Amino acid sequence: MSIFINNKVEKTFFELSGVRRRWILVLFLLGFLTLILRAFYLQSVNKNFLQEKATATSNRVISLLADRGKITDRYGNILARSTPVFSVNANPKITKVKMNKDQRVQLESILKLSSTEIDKKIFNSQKDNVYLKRRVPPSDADQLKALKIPGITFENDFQRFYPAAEVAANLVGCTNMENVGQEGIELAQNKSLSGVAGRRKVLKDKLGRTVDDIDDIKLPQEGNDITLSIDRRIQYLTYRELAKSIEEHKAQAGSAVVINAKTGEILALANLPTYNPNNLNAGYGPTRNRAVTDVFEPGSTMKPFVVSAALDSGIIRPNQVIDTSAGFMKIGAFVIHDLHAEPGKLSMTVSEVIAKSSNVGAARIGLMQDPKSLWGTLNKVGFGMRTNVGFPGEVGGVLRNYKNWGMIGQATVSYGYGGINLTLLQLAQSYTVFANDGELKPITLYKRNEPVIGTKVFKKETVRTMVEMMEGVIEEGTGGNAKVKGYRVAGKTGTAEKSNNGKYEKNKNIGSFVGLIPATNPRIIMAVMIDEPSVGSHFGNAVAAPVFSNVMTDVMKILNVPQDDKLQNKILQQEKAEPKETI
Amino acid sequence: MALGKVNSEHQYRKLFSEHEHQKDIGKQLDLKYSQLQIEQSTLSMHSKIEDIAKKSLKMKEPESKNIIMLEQP
Repeated sequence: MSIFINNKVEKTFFELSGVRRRWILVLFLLGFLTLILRAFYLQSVNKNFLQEKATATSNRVISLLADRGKITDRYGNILARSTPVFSVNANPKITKVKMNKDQRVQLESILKLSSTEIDKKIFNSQKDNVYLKRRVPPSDADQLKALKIPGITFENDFQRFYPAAEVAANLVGCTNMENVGQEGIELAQNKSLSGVAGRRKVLKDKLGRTVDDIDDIKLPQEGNDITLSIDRRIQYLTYRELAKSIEEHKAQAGSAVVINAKTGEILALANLPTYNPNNLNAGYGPTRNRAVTDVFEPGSTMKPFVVSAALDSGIIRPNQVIDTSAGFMKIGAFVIHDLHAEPGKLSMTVSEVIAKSSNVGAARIGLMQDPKSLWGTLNKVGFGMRTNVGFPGEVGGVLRNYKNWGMIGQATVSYGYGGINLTLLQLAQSYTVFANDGELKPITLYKRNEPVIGTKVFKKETVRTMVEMMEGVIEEGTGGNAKVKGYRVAGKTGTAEKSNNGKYEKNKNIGSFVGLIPATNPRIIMAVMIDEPSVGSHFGNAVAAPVFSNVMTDVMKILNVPQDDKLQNKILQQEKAEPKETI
Repeated sequence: MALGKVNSEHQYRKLFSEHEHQKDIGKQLDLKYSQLQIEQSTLSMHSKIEDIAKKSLKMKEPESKNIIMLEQP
């Protein structure tokens, strides 16, 4: 009975709890089902999204910036170099809410931004990311990092510095904000200088330390360094003296090129006006490298080639007398004048034609020659062709075809007018024939380690004679201001009226000078041109020759070139009976 | 076994992090070096030296009468 009762009791219990048990069971099952569904949802449907989230918090891809190569002068002195800086970015949505007053004050003072600028960039911005300031120096960036302002991030960047600043700006050039070359060598060699950025993927722990590499590291390819043929000291001297002359004569512009006569390496290339590449906020200034990109009519500096061509082919002898008709010559209706004519002097020797820079004499000598062969000679010394020095924007000037010369054309070309114009660089290069026994040397802006072979244009004897005649220019001719104490100088002045739409303007001139030093065995060639001098004389001897003299006085010391002129020293002259003189 | 793996992974990460830290120091030194190079280059500019020599040291170039040229034997 009791069993029955017990059974009954038990049965009652089971029956009573049966519903409840099932309910609980169902609830549990539902609970598990939810969990399984959720797990399924997370692991398969939402898998990629979540994995990305997870890796994003611990994995970082770091871009490894490639350092832009250095540009140095021939001795390794830096002319352009990149240093790491930071770009400071902000996420306005975070920063505007979470930055406190104190942090804001600090931010403004470190970045030197005004309160309104901060307002504009952060508080009135709807963007997710704004540049607060670029090119922030590392020391400032470190201070900012220490403030831990929410939403402020830092990006690695590079900035270019140019220690030579405006002295070499037109040559070295500059880069833009994205570190891409915009001008000069920076542009010409951009590809080589740039390098290729690398990347690495790393694992970070919760403190932000890098604890492992995840992928293979792709190392950045650093940019190549470029060594120019420039000598920084000579570059500076050239710039300084050029600036002095331009200031003195209130000229519009000026350029100067210094070349190593034997190797064709450009030692200095200065231009004015110029700009400071370290401060481009004011926009690009006068970036043009006039010596390479601008042409002018050379005027009298052409005469040595025309006369050499005649000497070389034996048409004239060095001591031959040329009829210069008292500095006045008529071809049809066209009249040629001499600028430095001596009254009553009807004829000149060839040497005098060069020394006194007679247009009439040069025109006569020019006209004696076969147009085709004269053109050939002028073409061989590089007129009408680019020097291919590898500078962006280089032009080759014009050498009009001899078929279109006519008599007047041939006469005017002979003294550097009419169908000819060229860059200062071409002019400087052409004079290498007088320093290398008649060989024209290819010129370069990059350091040369081996001597180069040039193209033969004139005979050795012709060149010797011409150099002697050009010494006459300095000694008794039109180029007296180019004298350098202790050295013999050969050179040629040039003064050309600027042409404007085919008309020559009397008051707009270009004064130029090309010289070789020491004349006994030229080591250096320097070409100078001053554009539109407006105060004092506009002649090449007045505006350009002093630049040559001043620069070369120092350059001879810098390069330790032995003096070739009569020794100036009394004691030594007494001891030695005869002064040293060669040629 | 498993603990050994955990331990070695931990050690590895610790060393790796230290290595990274040293590399950072290296980078800092590189940076310093590049800044010094630029500074040296700026300070050794001809214009700067000339300025100091002429203005603060009151130096001047000798005139030619004060220069004695010696001839090489």
